[in-house]
Amino acid sequence: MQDEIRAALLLWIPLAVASLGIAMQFRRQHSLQNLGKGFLILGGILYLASFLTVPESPSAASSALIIAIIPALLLIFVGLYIATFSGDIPVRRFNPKLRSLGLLLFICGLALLETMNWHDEKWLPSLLWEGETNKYWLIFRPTFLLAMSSILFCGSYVVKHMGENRNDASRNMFILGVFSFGFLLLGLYTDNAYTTTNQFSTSVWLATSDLFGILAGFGLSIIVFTLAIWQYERKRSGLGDLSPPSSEQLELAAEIIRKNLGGEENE
Amino acid sequence: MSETPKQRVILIAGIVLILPSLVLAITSNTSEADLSRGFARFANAFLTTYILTSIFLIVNMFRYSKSRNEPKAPWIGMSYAAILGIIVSVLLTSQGGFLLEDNSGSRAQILTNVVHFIVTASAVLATVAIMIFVAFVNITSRNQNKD
Repeated sequence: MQDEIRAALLLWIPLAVASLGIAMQFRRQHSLQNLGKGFLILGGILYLASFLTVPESPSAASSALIIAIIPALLLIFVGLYIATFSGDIPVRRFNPKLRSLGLLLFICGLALLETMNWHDEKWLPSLLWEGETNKYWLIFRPTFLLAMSSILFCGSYVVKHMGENRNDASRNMFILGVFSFGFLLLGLYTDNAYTTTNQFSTSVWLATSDLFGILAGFGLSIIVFTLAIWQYERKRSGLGDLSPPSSEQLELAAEIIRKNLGGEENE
Repeated sequence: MSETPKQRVILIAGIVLILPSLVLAITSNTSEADLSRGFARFANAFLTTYILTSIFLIVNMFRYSKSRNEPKAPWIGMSYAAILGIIVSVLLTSQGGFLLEDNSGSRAQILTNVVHFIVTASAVLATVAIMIFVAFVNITSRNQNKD
């Protein structure tokens, strides 16, 4: 009982507080939004520290995993951020020379994430929890690789067909997708530092079920949301019930349109 | 792009999205035990995502209500839908329920599902962000090379 109360206070309540913080970001008042940011930071820190504060809770292994993969994810996203904002865009923030550094950081991040899985070295963040492979790593890695290959293949196809002169972007996304799919296949046929081929095969199967479950659950909630709004909007009085605009209202509308029309005349 | 080719692109993109999963499902050796675990995993992920997304959408419904003279019906309807999901989840994960995985009871299973969802959602969100960034990096590099 003591352990359950500790887990509730140091893991579940912080998680709920962080979720409340996210929800508060959708309020209009800035004071509530700022309070929400505070909740998110406080709840997030307490949740991430739960592998130290409540190590007896099985769910604390998830925070240990997130802490272990943060360096790799930081490298990936900082690299991509630098590479994007040193490109030829109006909101350029970095010198174009830093672009290759950004790409290098991105590749290093991906390499670190894979090296962590294939080698159990002391200098690498540990994926062990209570002497065994962290069970959440067996969820994260297959889901990450499977989602990455699926989304990049799909993105590559969409980018190619929805824009013009996007062949390079499409090809590079496809190549990255092939790499992540290749790592998935490699895991199915080769043992690594943390998983056997059998374990990985089961994990991939469960990750596939997870992804389809998430897609289906997300889709159903969107359908229910749409139905709730549609039902309400359907019962509202139509625009036909409104009286036609008065000449004053028409003049006001004309004035607003006149003020907002801009640009130079060509002819 | 005209309407029909656009729809065709979306349809093919959807098929491409599930293609790696289909290939893996065919190539990996899945036993009968894995199949039943896979189904339980699918149902748990489905219910957890449905409930959490519904709760998130209820919060958004308040914003929608503000723009429509604050009607109660839409968010009450949405709340019922979320509560229904919670009831189904509790019933199917209670002792002996077929959605109970390696946990002792309903509460433990639901809490595991929430943490499981956080880890899976983090992986999916990370990949979506990577895809968007990679697309932008390539598009902006093309403009740079042109100069």
